[in-house]
Amino acid sequence: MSIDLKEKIKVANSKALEILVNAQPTWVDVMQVKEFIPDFQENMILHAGPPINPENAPKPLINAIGGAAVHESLAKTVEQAWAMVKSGEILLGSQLDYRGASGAAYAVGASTPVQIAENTETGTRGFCTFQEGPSRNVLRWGIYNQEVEERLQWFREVFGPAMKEVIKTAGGINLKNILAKAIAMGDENHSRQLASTALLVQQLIPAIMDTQIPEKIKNDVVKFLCSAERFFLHVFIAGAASVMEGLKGIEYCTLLVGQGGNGFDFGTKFAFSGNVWYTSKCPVCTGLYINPEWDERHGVPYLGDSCVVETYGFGGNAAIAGPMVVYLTGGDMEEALRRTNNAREICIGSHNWAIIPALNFQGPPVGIDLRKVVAKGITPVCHGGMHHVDGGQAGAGYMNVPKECFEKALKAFASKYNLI
Amino acid sequence: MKNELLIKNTARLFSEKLKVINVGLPHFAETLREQGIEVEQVDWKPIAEGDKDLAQLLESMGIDD
Repeated sequence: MSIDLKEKIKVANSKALEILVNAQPTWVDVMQVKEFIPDFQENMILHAGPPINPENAPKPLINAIGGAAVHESLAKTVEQAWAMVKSGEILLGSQLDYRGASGAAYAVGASTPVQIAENTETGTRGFCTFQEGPSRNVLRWGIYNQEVEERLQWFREVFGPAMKEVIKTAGGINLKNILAKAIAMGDENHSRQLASTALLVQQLIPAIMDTQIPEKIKNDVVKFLCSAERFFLHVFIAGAASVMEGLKGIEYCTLLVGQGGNGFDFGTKFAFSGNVWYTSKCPVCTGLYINPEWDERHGVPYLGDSCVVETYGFGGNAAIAGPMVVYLTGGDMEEALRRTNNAREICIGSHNWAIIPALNFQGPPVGIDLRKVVAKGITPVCHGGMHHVDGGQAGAGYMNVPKECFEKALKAFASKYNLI
Repeated sequence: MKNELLIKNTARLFSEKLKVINVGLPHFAETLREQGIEVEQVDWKPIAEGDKDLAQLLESMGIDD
């Protein structure tokens, strides 16, 4: 029986790896959440990470959910919104349960415009919000104030509809081409996307020029895009989510297909069990704080789903391609190499289309296999920013995914396929 | 005869320059390096970090290494 099972796992994982390496994640549309998710309830807010008991929510998550609720006119203040969450008048859901992934703490409601990506090889789709640019006042860092609200309104009323037109005019933007170039330009593409954003904007501007959008809006859109050096991150999150949707539900497949933190629990999903969560207590990132007087007491445990890019082989897996990220968060070249080498120990393949010069032109490892994680005691490294306990960004660094998530998944796999 | 060989090899161990391969816990390698001894570190952990139940499940599933 076990030989048969081993063969089934091997076949399933090979199929999944083929989807991963052959994927063509493409930015295909901009839609409001209620257009993308059938029967979306108007009183629902989707947040980062696995579902959370409101009693455990950290302040940045409360601000993000409350802010999204106020933006949707479900409440007048964040405090009122949070009381409505506790009373059940406002429903909460996880973006990762709805084919989405949250950039940091960014919460979404019915009218939030989101970028839709499609893996055109499988037809599966994923979504993520627009990255909010360089301001410190952004919902993604768990801040909600007048500036944030005005930008959210601009996204909904102006930028979102404009970008929908731009993407239509461009005929979609293939993200794989950008990733393949940018990885050799210093982007590990989780905490750094300087090259990727520039390459993306290079494609967007001609399309903007070709649309019938009023000149004033064109100007504002171009200025915003050129100010947002991390704009590509959220596009890529949608792209990686679209690829991972194609792996969910592959029987016997032991690969990681989703992960994220809500600032209290960290959750993972695996191909064989689709949208089932395997959770553990969420760790705080190790890294550098913006204020030298801050330390781990000021950092919120991992908050966001951007680590979906690691499930697709970038970020921590590709650390050696972006050593500046590792250096700026307290590490060095050796540490960057260690992260990529460790990822290779627990992955089943590599993206040979995304070659890293410093790695003798190998690609980053992809396809994190729960069997290898448990067997070797090596857990995936996710890059990411840190939220401050009072809201705002505290710093940036990396986190090792808790091994408990993988151990729980291994036991669930064994139970599903009658090993125990 | 066997004992003579053992004594001879043991004597060599203390009279020649040591070259050590350390398998597993890196602390042992670090301690030797601090004493100027050349050490090759081999990273190794027991499967599933010694958890027998998990190791048994992995045996049934294989890890394709």
